[in-house]
Amino acid sequence: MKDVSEQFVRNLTDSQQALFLFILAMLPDPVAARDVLQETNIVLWRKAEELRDDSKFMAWACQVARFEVAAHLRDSARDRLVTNDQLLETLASQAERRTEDSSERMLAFEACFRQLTEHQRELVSERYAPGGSVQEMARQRGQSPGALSVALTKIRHKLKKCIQQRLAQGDQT
Amino acid sequence: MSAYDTSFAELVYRVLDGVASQSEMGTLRKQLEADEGLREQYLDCIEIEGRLVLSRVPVPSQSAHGPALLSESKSHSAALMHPAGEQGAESSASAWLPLAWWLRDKIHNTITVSMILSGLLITTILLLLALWIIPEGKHSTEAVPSRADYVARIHDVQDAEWNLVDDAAAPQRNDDLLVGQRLDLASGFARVRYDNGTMVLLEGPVQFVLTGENAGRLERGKLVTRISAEAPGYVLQAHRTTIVDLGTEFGAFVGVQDDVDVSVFEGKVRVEAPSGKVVLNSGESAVVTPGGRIEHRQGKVQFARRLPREEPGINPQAALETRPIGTGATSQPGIIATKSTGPNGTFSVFDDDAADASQGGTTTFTGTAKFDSDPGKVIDGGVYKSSGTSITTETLSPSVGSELILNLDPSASAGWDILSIVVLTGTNGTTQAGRSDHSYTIALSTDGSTFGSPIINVNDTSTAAEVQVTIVDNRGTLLGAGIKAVKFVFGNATSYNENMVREIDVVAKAATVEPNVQP
Repeated sequence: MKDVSEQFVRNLTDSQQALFLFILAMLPDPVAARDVLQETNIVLWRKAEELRDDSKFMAWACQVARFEVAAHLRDSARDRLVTNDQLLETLASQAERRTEDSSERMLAFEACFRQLTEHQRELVSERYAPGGSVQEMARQRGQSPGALSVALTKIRHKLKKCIQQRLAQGDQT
Repeated sequence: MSAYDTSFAELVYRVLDGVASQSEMGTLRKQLEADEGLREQYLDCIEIEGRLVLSRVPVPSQSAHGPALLSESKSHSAALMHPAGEQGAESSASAWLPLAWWLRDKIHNTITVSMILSGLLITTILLLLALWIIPEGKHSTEAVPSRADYVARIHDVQDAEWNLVDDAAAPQRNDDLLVGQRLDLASGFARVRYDNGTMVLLEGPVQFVLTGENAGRLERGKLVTRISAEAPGYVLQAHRTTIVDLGTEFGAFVGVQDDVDVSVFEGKVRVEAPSGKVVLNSGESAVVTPGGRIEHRQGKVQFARRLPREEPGINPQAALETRPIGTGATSQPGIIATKSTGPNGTFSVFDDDAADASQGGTTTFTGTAKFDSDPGKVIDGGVYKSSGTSITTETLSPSVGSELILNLDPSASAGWDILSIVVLTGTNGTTQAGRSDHSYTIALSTDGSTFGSPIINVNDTSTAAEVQVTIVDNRGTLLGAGIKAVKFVFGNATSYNENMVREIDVVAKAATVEPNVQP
């Protein structure tokens, strides 16, 4: 029977968002990314005792997640963006560096999200609702999926710009 | 940090939204493989996408706020997306957080793996429930775009095969197009007409995105753009090249290597590439290499400047805008008459060609239109009344109900594509001011004898010395294609019960039946 420290639990819990984003970078499908995150969590639990230095948790977790993504990609050949190991490694390396200041970015995002209009929030809420898809939304609204995607992307551009400004100003209030 | 590339971000989000084609997926993959800066931008997009996903159903927040964050009944992100009142999502999202809290609360220095795994299992189950079984909430918000959201429409299509996303309907003639709408034409032709009159002829395979009311982006393939005279400054983005219209017709092509060819048929354009800028004049072409270098070269790409088969007929049937003049109204949607008044000498098309006076008649006139020296104008100053008093010797004063049939030059076997008709009435600014009314209908014939319904009913009263009316299709397309005759039927002008027509100009080009291909 293995013992798991409170610190390990804290690290694992706290790393979930960053790990999800890390996986999503290599596997740009939120549903698949969630699946892989769950697989990753289980592996991390199983191998908890292998982690000697809690300060290295994120690097270790990213390494495990990378393996899980690679395994998922091997099993699923459909509509993959990342099709070779080199791109996978490159993206993983760059994405891992971002986990270091992920909390600042999260706070900036939340502040910027509050600045969206009600209509924009509704659109986003519908898009990211469980089972929500651009195609279905477009069908309901009588729009083309492409046009709806553009409308959503305008919101994303707005968020991106706002986040950039906040990070540059060091203001996440 | 490299500059934010909006078009790249749009491509990423198209992939994330599941509306990208395989070819776009391949393009994105290639760009990610080749460019570290774009990979960083891709990760920016991923982060926003991921946080939006998480803001709907969050996973545990990070340690920025420590346990206090988790002790709340819902995470920051969940609170963002679900203010009080959206009970379904809120309760589900928060339902699993106490378990995370339980994990933290119950575990002290050590904990058995069985307990942890039990917690994790429950957490996982609840997370999956939260992800998949949450009631959808209010999804029925209708946001049907208004006409103001549209900037263009499909003018016509020919032999068009589209690459469609899922069960999307194939674009059809007269379909309205939104900013951001993407057209992926696998083969055939489609013409897009912006509301300002600019026309874009897409030749499949081609991928084109409307990016604004006077802008577009060519992602792959070929197009020819003819700029509306009323809307200069059209901007076409093609890979890393920007093509700015300076009053022209030009073709652009983006190849598989992202090389961009630009050929100018009329007028000129400015080509802006990463390495610099160049202005191309009529007949010139250039290519912007994948590396961004501009090179002059000729004849690499052939562009179709018109549809292979220009359908004869009177264009178009679809409504966009009507603008009546005076007391009259257009009878054909999209076709408008505009007028200008003024003293003598203000009309650029006015041609006081006395040699045409012999063609005139007072009631019914049937003549053969002649060319004059102006390119594209097949009738100029062809209708006059030879009798006159002190007005001029060049007026036509038809009575009510009289017809004027202009048989267009038969040397164009396929007829004529009519761009506009200009009618000038009045007294040349000298005497008898007020005889400048316009009261007539205009009908067109593709066989020279059978006329369709009038394309416009002009009825305008004026006290000006002279009035010029210009009739065009407000969507920048032809009044008629393959036209062989034009018929005026005059009405009851009020001022003097006369339409003192001094000049009628039919501005047209010979119709063709074969593609007009130009290197």
